[in-house]
Amino acid sequence: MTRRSIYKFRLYVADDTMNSAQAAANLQTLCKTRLAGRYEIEVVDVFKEPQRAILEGIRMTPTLLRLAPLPIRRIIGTLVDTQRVLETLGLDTKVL
Amino acid sequence: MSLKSPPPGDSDGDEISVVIRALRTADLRLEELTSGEVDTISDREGRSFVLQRAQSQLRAAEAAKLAAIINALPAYIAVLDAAGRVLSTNEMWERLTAGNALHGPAYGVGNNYLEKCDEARGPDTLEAYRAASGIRSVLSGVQDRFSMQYPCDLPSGRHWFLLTATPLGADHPRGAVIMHVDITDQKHSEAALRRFAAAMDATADALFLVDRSSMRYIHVNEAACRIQAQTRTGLLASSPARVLGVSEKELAETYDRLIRSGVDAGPVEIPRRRSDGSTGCFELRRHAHPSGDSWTIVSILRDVTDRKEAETRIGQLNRVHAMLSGINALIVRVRDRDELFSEACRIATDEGGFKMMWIGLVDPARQKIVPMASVGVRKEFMEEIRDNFTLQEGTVGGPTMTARAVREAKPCVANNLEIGADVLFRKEHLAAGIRSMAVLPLIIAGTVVGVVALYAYEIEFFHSGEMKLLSGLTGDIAFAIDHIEKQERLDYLAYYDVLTGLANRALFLERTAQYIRGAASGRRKLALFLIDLERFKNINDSLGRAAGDLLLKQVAAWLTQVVGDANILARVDADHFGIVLPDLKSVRDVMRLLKKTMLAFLSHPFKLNDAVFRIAAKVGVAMFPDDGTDADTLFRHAESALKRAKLSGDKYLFYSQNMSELVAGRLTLENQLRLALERKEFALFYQPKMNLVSGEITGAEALLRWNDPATGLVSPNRIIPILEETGLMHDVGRWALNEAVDTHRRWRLVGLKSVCIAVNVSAMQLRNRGFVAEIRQAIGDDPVTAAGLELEITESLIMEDIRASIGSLRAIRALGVRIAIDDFGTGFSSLSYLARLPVHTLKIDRSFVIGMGAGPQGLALVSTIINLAHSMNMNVVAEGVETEEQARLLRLLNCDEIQGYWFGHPVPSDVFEAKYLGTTALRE
Repeated sequence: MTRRSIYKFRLYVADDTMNSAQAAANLQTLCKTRLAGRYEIEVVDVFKEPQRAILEGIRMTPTLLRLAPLPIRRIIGTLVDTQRVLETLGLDTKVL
Repeated sequence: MSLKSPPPGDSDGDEISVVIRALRTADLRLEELTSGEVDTISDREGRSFVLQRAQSQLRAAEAAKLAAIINALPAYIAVLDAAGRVLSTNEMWERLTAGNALHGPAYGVGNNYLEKCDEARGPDTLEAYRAASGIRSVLSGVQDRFSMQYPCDLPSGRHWFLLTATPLGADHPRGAVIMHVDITDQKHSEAALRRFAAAMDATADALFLVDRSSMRYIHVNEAACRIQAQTRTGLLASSPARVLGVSEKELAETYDRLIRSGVDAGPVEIPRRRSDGSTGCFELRRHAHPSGDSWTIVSILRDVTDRKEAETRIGQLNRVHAMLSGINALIVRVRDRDELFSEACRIATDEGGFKMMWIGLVDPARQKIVPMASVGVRKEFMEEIRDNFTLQEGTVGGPTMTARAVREAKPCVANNLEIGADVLFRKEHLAAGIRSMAVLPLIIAGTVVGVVALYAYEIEFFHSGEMKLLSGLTGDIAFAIDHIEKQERLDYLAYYDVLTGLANRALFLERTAQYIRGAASGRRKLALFLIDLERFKNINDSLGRAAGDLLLKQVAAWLTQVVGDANILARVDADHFGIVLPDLKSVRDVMRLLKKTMLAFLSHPFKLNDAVFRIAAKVGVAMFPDDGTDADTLFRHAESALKRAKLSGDKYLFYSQNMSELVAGRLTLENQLRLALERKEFALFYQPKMNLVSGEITGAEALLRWNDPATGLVSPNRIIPILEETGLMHDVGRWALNEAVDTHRRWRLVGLKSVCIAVNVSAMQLRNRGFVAEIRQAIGDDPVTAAGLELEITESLIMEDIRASIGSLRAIRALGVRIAIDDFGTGFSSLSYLARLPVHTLKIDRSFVIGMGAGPQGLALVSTIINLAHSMNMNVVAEGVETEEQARLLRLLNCDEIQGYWFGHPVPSDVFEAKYLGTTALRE
C-alpha cells in the first residue's frame, strides 16, 4: 500500500450507547493522528438502518469495517486496544 | 425494543444465535462474553438485542434529554395520569413558591390535580373549576385539547397565565400534560396596543401608517379619517397614492428616499382644504420605521392654521411694540415738533414694518389737514391731501376715513382695502401693496389737533390689540406735541428764578456739576459760595413782600455786575445766592471774590421806597475737590459752612477748618497791612549803586519794608503779592514814591551828596491813569527833584502792554524823571520795541551776573547785553553783584554801575546817609 491510499471505514453503532460512542471516538482519534487527510468514515446506526446492518452481515455493535484498502477487515468492540487495532488495520508503526 | 423470541440460527451467526439463546435470560453473561465492549447483538432478521447496560444507559439519556427540554420550557408543566394524579413536573413547576389555585407546591407529584382544583377556595375558585372541568374533558377524550387564560396575583403584580391540557397519547385514558404559560407580557403588549390605538385616535394630528412593501395603509387614526372625510374602513381600503393623488411609483420613491436618508422628513407646510371647507395650513412630517423585513412609513399631518395665524398676529403686535418703544424713546428725547413727526414716521416704517405713515395737523380755520411729515408716501398723494382734501362733509368722494377720524375723534380702520370704499387713492394703495390702513386722531385736551395715518401690507392688520397699542401711541404723540409747545416755558420755569431771572438751584447744581467735570479734567480747584442776605427777613417783614422782592431783584442785578458773569450766579433759595468759581488758579482767587463781595455788600447802597439800605452778607464756601467731588456734596457743605458762619461772628466760613484758617491768616495780614500805612509801619531801605569806573556811589534803590510790630521786619516777597491783590499797592506805592522824593529833598537840604533814588513801580501803579499825576504831585514841578528820581519798571511789566507802557513812560520822562528797565533779560523783549522805549537805564538781572562765572557763554551774554544797551545810549547797572570777581569781570565788560551785597546791603536812610553820603566813595 502506498502512503497516498485512502482509508475507508464504516462503523456500525447502536445510537449513542456507551461502547458505540467510545468506538466512534477512538476511531476519530486514530484517524486524525495516523491518517490525517486520507480517510473517510461512514457511521451506520443499526437502530435506524437495521436491514442494512443485516445485509452487510453485522450482528454486533460496535463493529468497524475497513473497506479500503482491500481486503476488508472487521473489528468488533470499542477499539480501545490501539496497538491491536493498528495491527489489524495494517497501520502499525513499522509499516508507516 | 427487546426481542421476545429467539431468532432461528444461520450459518454466519450461528455462534451468536447460540449465545443469544443461551444467555437470553442472563444479560450479565453476555456482557462478560463480549468483554463489555458490545452494545447490541442482532439476530438474522436484523432485530437488535440491546445489552442491559446499554439499554439502561439509553433510557437514562433519553429521559435526561426529555427532562432537559421540559425544564428548559418557560412554562409550568406537569404530567397527569388518567385519574388526574401528578406523575411528574418540570423544574419551574417545582420552583414556584408563591403558588396559586392552579399550580404550585400543593400540586406536587403524587397529588391529584383535579381534586386539588375541586377543593380550591377563595378568589380563584371559579378559574379552578373551569380548569378542572377542561382537564377532565381531555382525560376522558371528550376534547383533544383544552386551554384557558386566567389572571393570578403574584407578589410582582398581576400576571396572566395560559393553561393548556394535551392528552399524552392517542389512547386517552393514559393521561395528559398540563402546561401553564405566563402570558403577562403578551397581555401587556395587547393592552399597550389598544392604548396606542386609543391614543392615536385621541390626538388631533392625523396619523397614517403605511406599509412600504404593500403601499397600503396599516393604520389610520380618527383625525386622519376626519381630514379625509372617510370612514376608517373606507380609508384603509383605499391606498395612500390614491388619497394623495399621486402615482404609486412616485410615492414609493418618496418613501424610499425617506428610508435612505435615515432622518425624519419635514415638517413641510402644505396648504390643504380643512374639513369645514376652508383652506388651511398643514404641517406634514414623515418618519420611516423598520418593521420586520419591510418599513412602516408614519405620516403625521397637523393643522397649523390657527397657530400660523397666532404667529402672524404676534409678529404684528411685536412690530407695533417695537415701533411704540422707538417712538416713546423719541418722545422723551425730542425737543422739536418737526423732528418728532418725521422721526415717528421713519420709525413706523423701519421698526413697525408699515408701508407708509403720515402725520397731519388740523387747520380748523380752513377745515383742512396740513401734512407735517411722511415716510413712504408718494408726493402726489401728500399734495392731494394738502391741496384738495377737506374736512367738510358732503364733498366729492364722500366722507373719507381721515375726515371721520377728525370729526368723531375716533380711530378709523379699513382692514381690507380690496373691499373698502371711503379711501382716497385706494387703487394706488392696492397697487403699492397696501392692504389695510388706519387713521388715528391726535387729541389734545379733547380737541383733535391732527391725524396719524398708517398703511400696512397685511390684510386685517388693525385688530383690537394693535389698535389699542396704536391709540396709546397717538396719545403719547399728542402729549409730546403739547409738551414741546410748553417746553420752552417749562424749561425756563424749571431752571430759572422767575423773580430775579437768575439761574435757580437746579440749574446752578447742573452748571456746577459741569464746571466740576471741567475742573477735574484740568486738575483745577473750584469754589462754591453760598451768600446769605443777613437782614433780608427783617426787610421782608417790615416793608412787605413786594419790597423784599424788589430788593432781591436789585441784589441779583448788582451781584451779576460784581461777579461779572451771570452764568456762575444763581438764586438758590429765598434769600440765598450761590456763586460757583470755576477754574481757580489759587486760593487768592477765592479770597479776592470773598473780599470783593463782602466789602461790596457793606458799601453798596440798595434803595427801597426812597430809603437807602445797606445789607450785610454771610458766606459759606466749599472747595472742589477738597470738600467734595460732586455738585450736591459741595452745595451741602457750603450750606453747612454758611450755617456755621451765621451762628458765629464770622462773616464767612469755609467748609474745611484749615481753609478757613488759611484764609483768615491771609485776611489778618491784609488788615494789618492796611493798618500799617496808617500806623506808619512801612519803611524804605536804600541799597547803593556804584560806578565801576570811578568807584563812586552814584545812586540808591529804595526798597519797601514792613516793620510788623509783632514780628519785626517782614520780607517784601511776602507782602508785595498781597498788596498787589488787595489794591493796597496804590496807596503804599504812592507813599513810597513820596517818601523817596522827600528823602532826596532832605539829602539836598542837609547838603548831603544827592544821589538819584530809584523807586520800583508796580503793575497796578503803571496802569493807573492817575499815576503820572501822582508823580507830578510828588516832585512838585521841581526839575531838580525830578532828576533825582528814577522809576524802576520790570521788563515783563512793560512788555505786558507795550503800547500803553510807551505812552506812560514818555509822559513820565517828560516830567524829567529817569526810567530804568528792571530785571532785564527775564522778560521777552522785542528789540524793535526796546529801541523805542524812552528809557535811561537797563538793569541786568542778577541771574546773568551769577551766570557769568559759569562759563564763556554766560560772560558773552552779559557782554552782549551791555553792548546792546550802550548802542541804545542806555546806562547799564548789574544787579546782585556779590563777589569781587563779578565786579572785575563787569568792569572788563564796560558795565557802568553795579549793585549788590559785595559792597552794599539795603539799609535804613540814616545808615545809608552816614555810610555812603557823608564822604565820597566809601567802601564797606
